[in-house]
Amino acid sequence: MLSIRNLAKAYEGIAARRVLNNVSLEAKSGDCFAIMGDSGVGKSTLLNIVAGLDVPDDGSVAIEDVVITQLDETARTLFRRARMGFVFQAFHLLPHLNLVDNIGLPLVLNDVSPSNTQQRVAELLSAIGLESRADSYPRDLSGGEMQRVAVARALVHKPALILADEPTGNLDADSATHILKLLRDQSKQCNSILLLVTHSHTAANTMDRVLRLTAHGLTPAA
Amino acid sequence: MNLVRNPRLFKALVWLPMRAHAGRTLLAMIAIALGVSLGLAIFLMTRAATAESARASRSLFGEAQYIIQGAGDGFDESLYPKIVRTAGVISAMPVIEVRGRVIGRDASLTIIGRDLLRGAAQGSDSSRRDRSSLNALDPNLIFLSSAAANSFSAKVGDELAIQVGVARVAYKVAAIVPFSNQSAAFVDIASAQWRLGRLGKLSRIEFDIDASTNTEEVIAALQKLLPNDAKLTTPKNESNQAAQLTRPIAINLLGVALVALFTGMFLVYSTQSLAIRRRRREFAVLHALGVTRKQQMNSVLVTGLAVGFGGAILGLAVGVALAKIGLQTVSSMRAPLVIGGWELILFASLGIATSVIGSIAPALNAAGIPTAQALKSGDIDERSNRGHVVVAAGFWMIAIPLLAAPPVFELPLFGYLAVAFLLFGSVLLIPLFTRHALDFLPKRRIVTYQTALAQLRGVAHTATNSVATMLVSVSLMVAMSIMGASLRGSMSEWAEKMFPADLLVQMNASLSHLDDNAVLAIESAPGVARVERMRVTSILLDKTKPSITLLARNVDSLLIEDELKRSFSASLTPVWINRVLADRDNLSIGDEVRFSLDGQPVVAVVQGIWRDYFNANGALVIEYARYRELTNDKRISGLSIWLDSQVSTAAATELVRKSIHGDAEVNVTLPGENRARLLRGFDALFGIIYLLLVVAVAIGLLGIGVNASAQVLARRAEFGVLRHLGFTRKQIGAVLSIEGFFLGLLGSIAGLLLGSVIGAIMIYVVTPQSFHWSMDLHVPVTVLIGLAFFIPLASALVAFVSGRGAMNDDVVRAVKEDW
Repeated sequence: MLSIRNLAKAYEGIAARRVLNNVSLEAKSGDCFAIMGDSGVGKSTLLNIVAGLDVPDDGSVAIEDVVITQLDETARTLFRRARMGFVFQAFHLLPHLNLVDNIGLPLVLNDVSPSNTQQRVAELLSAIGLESRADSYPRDLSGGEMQRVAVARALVHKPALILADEPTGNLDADSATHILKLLRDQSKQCNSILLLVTHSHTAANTMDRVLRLTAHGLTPAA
Repeated sequence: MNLVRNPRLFKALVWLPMRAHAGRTLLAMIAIALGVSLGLAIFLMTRAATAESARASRSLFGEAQYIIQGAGDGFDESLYPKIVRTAGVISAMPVIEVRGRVIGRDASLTIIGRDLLRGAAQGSDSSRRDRSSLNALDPNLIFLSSAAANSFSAKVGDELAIQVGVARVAYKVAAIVPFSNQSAAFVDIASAQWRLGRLGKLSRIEFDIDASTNTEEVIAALQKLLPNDAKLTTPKNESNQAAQLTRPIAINLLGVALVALFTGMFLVYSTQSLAIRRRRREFAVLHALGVTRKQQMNSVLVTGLAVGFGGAILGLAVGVALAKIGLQTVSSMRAPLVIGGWELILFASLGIATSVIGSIAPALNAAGIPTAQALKSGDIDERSNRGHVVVAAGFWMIAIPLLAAPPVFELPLFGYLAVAFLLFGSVLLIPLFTRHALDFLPKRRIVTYQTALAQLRGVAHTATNSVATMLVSVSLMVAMSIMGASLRGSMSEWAEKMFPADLLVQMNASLSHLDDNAVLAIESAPGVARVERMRVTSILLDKTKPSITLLARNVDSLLIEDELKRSFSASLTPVWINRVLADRDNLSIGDEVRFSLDGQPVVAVVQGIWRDYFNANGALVIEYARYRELTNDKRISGLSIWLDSQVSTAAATELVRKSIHGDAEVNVTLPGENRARLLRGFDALFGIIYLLLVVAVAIGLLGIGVNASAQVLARRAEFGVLRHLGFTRKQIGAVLSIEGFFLGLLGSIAGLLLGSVIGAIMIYVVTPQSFHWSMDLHVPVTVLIGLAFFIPLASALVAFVSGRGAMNDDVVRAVKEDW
């Protein structure tokens, strides 16, 4: 269960501007949302606030009844560790970890036993079709393969919420289609809520619902 | 969750990133290892030497609890029965100790005259027990320590001719006895007194105090009996006082060795800072995945801990090996190497602490990375490093009053602290300095130059790490160069002033001497224009302190620092004291001092304070003529000889040798040779110091290399774009070299400025407090100009070599990463 209520955020300084205003959203387990919007409208800021990486000026975010906007920085980090997964546009795999270690990192952080970690990582490697490349390093993979690994890392600990920021932005069309399907299927399988931020209508249309972020809040896309 | 307790997390956050940059990690470890090994080696060597010196000194005193020690030629033997009769004194033993020279073996020897029969009966040491069956009272027999026998290859039954003063004494080796590592020989005291020219004299009396009596009362009674030229002390005190003379050298050498460790700390800081900047996005991803700020900080600190641990282990192994080699190489040091647990722990802890301290700022930086921003903008750190002007000024302000503080336990601790504060303050000012200095660089319409300069301005905050590391190493190199040149120049001038004659005659053994007849023969030799006599002996000025050297000589050739202008009573004897004595006894010009010469009390006034680089235990100079008036001592320890202009020094040297004894028991040297020998000794000591500083500068240069290679990795895409735009490999190399050159230039300019200030502190505060030496400022212009040229060029080369990765084709592909 995700509950975003009346979020507002403004940046101060020379380039002062209000980026989020009256943003609300309710989602239940297994829901897949696409959020679209013009550049600079605050899509990334919204994702950062939901992830607990940024704090709103007003409003609240609750995930599984935990109001994360009321938590301190360390508590938000610990919550994020346990209940959230991320997929980034630039993959952001850790270069010195092989695929097994990259995918298994959230389980290590959550203190899951080595045998359970091994088993779960093997399942996901199989699901993303890279079981034969388990010992490879990110530098040995193509962009599409790296993003498949990133999706596996986001899902490995079965999070309540997956945040995906332009996950297909760096990929060719075939790879993008494959990643979106993987992301959606795996989210459903894990019963996770998926929030996908994208500029691509094709990508957005693979989700259950498409929302548009404007200066007045989130509205269903036309 | 604890990084150290969770091996999987340790592996992911610490071990694998370290392994991924093994070269850089190893470099940081080597920097720490260098500091630890040099510090430990110097510590172990100086401790072994000091312990051996103290042990040797103690072994000469036998096993008595107390001694009454005479200065110079000792005291009248009539004191002995008085001591024996004092209630509470037991086992009193009179001793004669004389230094002589073994003729034909080129070795000096300490001859100890004791009551050998009583010693054997007491069985108090093995040397005496072994002799019990021999005729110990035979005046022709001598018992050699095994070290002495080894040093001049003597065996039982050999005949030995020993020169003591002008006399030659023949002995037959009766036995070789185990006796510490000291080159010593034993004879019976009665025969020693007449054969060694010490009739009626004793060097010391060793004794115990009966445990059933009140020790303090016995000591008080004994003090009343003592003449001015004898003091009551303990063997431990005497050997400690001997060891204390070498302490300043040991401490200062250790201080310089720790400079390498200090520079290592900056290299760790530099390596870690650059790693954090390069892994900025990685840290942001980790934070997004749930790694807490504290864990991020700890991962950097634990990396520092691991680097420090590795460096410390390596440093301990190398340090012990260096100490072993060092002790074996210094032939005069037969001291065994003793390695205790605590010093290993201490030096390992120093290495680890240094590495961890160097990691604190990068760790805080890692924990403060704004995640959302870093995920978006990657490796570009938009936070500017403005420096900390106020804190820097604070450090400088603290340093100034510290310079006026007195030494602590005769060590210039506040002086060193001031240097440390100046260094820290200056390092904090480096960002400001770098930014403004870059603005001053001339503009040229050369594309590589413009690109390099634009890049440097853009990454001024990372460039400051390199400049700071160079600042530390270069400034210390400059400071030590200025101090070394000043001390060397001042020593050379001192030697020139002190020994103005054409020829110098010095007796080889400290208690050897010439007599008036020998000097008259030299004076009347053809070609000799003038001869000045000198007498060297020792006196007690303060019975609670070690004896000092008394030099009776011409005072015109002393290098006077401060002299009394007003006149004083003719009954007072004018004396000139060296700075060591002035500081030790808190004496100033015009002060009255009292001592005993030949058993007669002398009241003197301090006429002047003279510069002295030789007598570390304190020295007092009296006019030779006045000395002869005050004493009956006609022994002469050395001569200064002026020759007629037509006489060659070689011919005169030969003539002087013949006039004395015709063999080599005296040194006849030219003043130039004397000065050269003094400077050779100095160069050997400073050679070690310069070597340590070269290591520090090398570490600083490595810092520039680390910066260059890290920058290349972080800027692969940028270099790739440049290649796409048409930059050749050569031009990329030129950009890197120009960047390296300017970083080195800024480091050397800042280093020269700060080094000059630290050099002045070393000259005017640290050295006078450590060694009681004053000196004039001599700036080693050639060395400094050389450094000013070498550092930027070496930096350019290091940056070029370290950054050669930017010139290969990988960077062209790196552009793709940003698409």
